[in-house]
Amino acid sequence: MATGQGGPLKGILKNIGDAPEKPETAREVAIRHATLLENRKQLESQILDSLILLSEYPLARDAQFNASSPAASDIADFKANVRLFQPSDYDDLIEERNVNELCGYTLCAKPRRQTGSSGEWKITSSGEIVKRKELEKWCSQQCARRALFVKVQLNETAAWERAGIPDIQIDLLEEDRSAETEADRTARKLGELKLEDQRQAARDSAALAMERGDDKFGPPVNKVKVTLKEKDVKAPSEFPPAEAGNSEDHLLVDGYKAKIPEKQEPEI
Amino acid sequence: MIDDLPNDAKSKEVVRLWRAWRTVHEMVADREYELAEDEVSISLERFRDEYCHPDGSVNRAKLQFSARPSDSMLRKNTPPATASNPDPVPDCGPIWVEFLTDKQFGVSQIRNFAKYTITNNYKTGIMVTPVALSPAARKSLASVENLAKIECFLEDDLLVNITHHELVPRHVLLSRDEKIALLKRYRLKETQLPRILQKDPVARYLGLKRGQVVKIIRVSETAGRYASYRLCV
Repeated sequence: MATGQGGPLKGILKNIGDAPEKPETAREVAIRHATLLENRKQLESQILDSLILLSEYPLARDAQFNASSPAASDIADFKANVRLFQPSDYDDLIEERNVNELCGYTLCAKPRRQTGSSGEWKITSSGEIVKRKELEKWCSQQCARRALFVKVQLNETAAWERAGIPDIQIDLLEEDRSAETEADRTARKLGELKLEDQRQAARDSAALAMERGDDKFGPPVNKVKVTLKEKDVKAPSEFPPAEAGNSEDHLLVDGYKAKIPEKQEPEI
Repeated sequence: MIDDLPNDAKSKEVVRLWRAWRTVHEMVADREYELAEDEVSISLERFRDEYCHPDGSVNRAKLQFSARPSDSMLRKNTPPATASNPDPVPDCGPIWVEFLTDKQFGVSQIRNFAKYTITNNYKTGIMVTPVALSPAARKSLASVENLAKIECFLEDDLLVNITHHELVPRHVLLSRDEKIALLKRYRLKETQLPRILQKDPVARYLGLKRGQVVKIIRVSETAGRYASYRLCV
């Protein structure tokens, strides 16, 4: 450069090719990304499997069970399988159930409504005009409400980003508890509360670990090692303790009294 | 040829299916499977004689056929012999084509079709459906991909043969040797070629697989003919 000093010229661009990546580390990174992709694929196929499984539900079709009070095993299965769905997957499930001629709500065993073969629009009993396709998804309006109640709880986030988070729970609409007495209800609530407290701590730590990226796909590669060091700070000088009854208190600024330089006697 | 037909719903249905039947035959023939000329260009009268009930409606259960790959197709699809694999097997096989009759298509129908295709040792299965598949059914096709290639076409999409349209240039599938020669000639890597999607209508027509290269020959005002190459992704 113009400075005329010796040595090689320096580019102003960022130095990328400084340390060429070792083949081992490159391989490690590639494998890590491949496992991530593989995991996503597995999750997707798992979601498809649960979709196909749920399209045949409910399994318990006795007379005592219906859409408002399904069998406990079916509820548990449904909640477990639908947990990772995105709303679009849930729509696919409804469509798949309709192909099987079932009501779109997973826990309803009734066939879906048939409203004749013609016409794209239908008038409901309440006077609304709706698409026939929408109407024929369900067996009744209640089932539509129940199904959509589940749908709004589903998350748009991709499944692999929340697969490990344990505190995603899906609730059903109106779980019928009219037969319960007051004492039962209190006991149940108390039990839930206790259990909740215990679990919450575990869940919180697991969710936190998930968020931080301490995932199960092998050891994290590019983590920064953090060491905390106390910064050595000079403490501000302490105020001199104010003497009680000091008449010059009002003259102190931060414990310092401005001194007016005494006029020096002119030397003669 | 269609104008002199009675204009009721049944014969419309017959004509629709006849057109789809012809297009699917042309498609199979263009992929170089062995088909006789009179099978491909079947006339409407013959179609009606062979595949219709006495009352004039189409017997869809009869609309199915299979074909074997021709020698040139086998040669095209055989990977080049290497030291470790001196006698390579071609990665194509007999094809099964069926017009399905169901009113709706879910996973179970697809599974039945795939099972039939696989148990009868077909390498490719083409199902022609009157209505679209459900989303889950479409996704489930991917799971059988390594056993047999299942392709789905809508009847509506087969009413005309798109490759006969004047704005569709000629697509020619390159064999593996030709592909290697092309890459060598232009000193390219595979990824440096222009691309064509697997779901592109012509790619679907030719049943392209990922990694195959098509040569597209266009008419050009300045150059007479112009060839470009695309890699299927």
